[in-house]
Amino acid sequence: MIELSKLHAYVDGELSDSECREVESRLAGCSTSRAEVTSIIGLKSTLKGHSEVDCSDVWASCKTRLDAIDRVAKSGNFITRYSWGFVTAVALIMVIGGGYARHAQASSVDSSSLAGVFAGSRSQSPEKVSRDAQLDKLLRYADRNLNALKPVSVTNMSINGLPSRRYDFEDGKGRMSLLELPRITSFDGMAPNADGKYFYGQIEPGTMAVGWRVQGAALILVGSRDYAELEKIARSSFMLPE
Amino acid sequence: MAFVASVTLGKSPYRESEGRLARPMLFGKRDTKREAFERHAERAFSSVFGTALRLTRSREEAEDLTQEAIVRAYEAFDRFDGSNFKAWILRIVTNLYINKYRSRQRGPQLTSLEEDNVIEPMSVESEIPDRQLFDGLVGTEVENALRKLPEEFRLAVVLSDIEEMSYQEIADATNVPIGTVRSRIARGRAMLRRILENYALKEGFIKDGYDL
Repeated sequence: MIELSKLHAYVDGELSDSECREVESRLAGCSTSRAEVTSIIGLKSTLKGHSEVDCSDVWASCKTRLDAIDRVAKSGNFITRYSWGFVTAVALIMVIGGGYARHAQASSVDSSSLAGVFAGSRSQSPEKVSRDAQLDKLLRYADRNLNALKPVSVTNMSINGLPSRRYDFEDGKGRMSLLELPRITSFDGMAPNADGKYFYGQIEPGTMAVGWRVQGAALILVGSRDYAELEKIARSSFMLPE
Repeated sequence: MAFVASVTLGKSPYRESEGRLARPMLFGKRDTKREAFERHAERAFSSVFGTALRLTRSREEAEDLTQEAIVRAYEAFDRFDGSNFKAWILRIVTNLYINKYRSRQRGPQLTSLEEDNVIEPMSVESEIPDRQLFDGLVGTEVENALRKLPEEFRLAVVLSDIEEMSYQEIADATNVPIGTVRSRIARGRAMLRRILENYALKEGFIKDGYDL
């Protein structure tokens, strides 16, 4: 019988012309080898014939990811144009401003007051703590989380007179921020997802926020990702909503 | 203040699209890199996802692996030499799987079978003629049989027989010598045929004692 790996290579078209001629010459006189060739061809054909997979929905998800990459690239490097964490804080005030203001017994937040917050925050020098123990507590790493989150810093800050905390971290695709706002129970200006547990808001084109309630506080995750990806990170890496 | 002005408070992407999330806004027309990448990627996509699915044996993980591979390929698309996109991206899928996903897998993975280089014939001593066996199979049975193959053999057989890659392309994708690829394909097919035959006999769609 002809060497088996050579028969497989013959069927696969991996032999040189001279090797092919040699195999074909020997096949003529070896019924066992011929049967083997037939069997290999049959198996290959069976595998190829049953290889279709349904993947149209996955392709759509991939295109959404590509959209996010394009948006980040085309936004002129959003993070360098603005201080990332600073923008996050301001943006979140905007997203949940109404709710936060109500709970803080303050007047409603409009764009002019936001501008004041924006200017005021800029002059602050927030305390940054690398690998803060609270960050370790907050980040609940999930085994199946693809984008292992690397903590960068924790910033204690005050928004409208209420203490809050911003956690900056990153994964392979860039920086994200999580804002922890105590005493917030509603998300004004944010739309609930299908199960009503997470809330979506657009900070600016290409920068999205996903919020949810945990232990009497609001957590809001902000990044240059689409809603689905942010929610996925939220679900896999952080405490689940109440 | 330009940033403040650009914020879109109160918009509901969920409501706007009547139950589906609105597509995030794009900045202008897509560039040529994106168009070129999509053209290549869409053609190769069923191969990318199919290979991911057969490697991870989990649709959820296959989706994650596929998305990550597509993103990495897009980011590295400038370095694609223009020759064979499918082989190039399947190499990314395979390397991602080996480096990141393999440790999570359960079931047959790496084996010590590599040291035993005896290749079994497929047809000799088989109890069922090829045509009777292969004609009676449906897709689920073939996929289930593939899942039972140890990982290195499964990968070689999938890349060769389903993705129709050359031995050299498989060697490049799996980082093993071409002789190892040749051996794995031959041995993987022999194992697969035995698994399919045992399945056929066990499930009874081929009865013992047929007329040879």
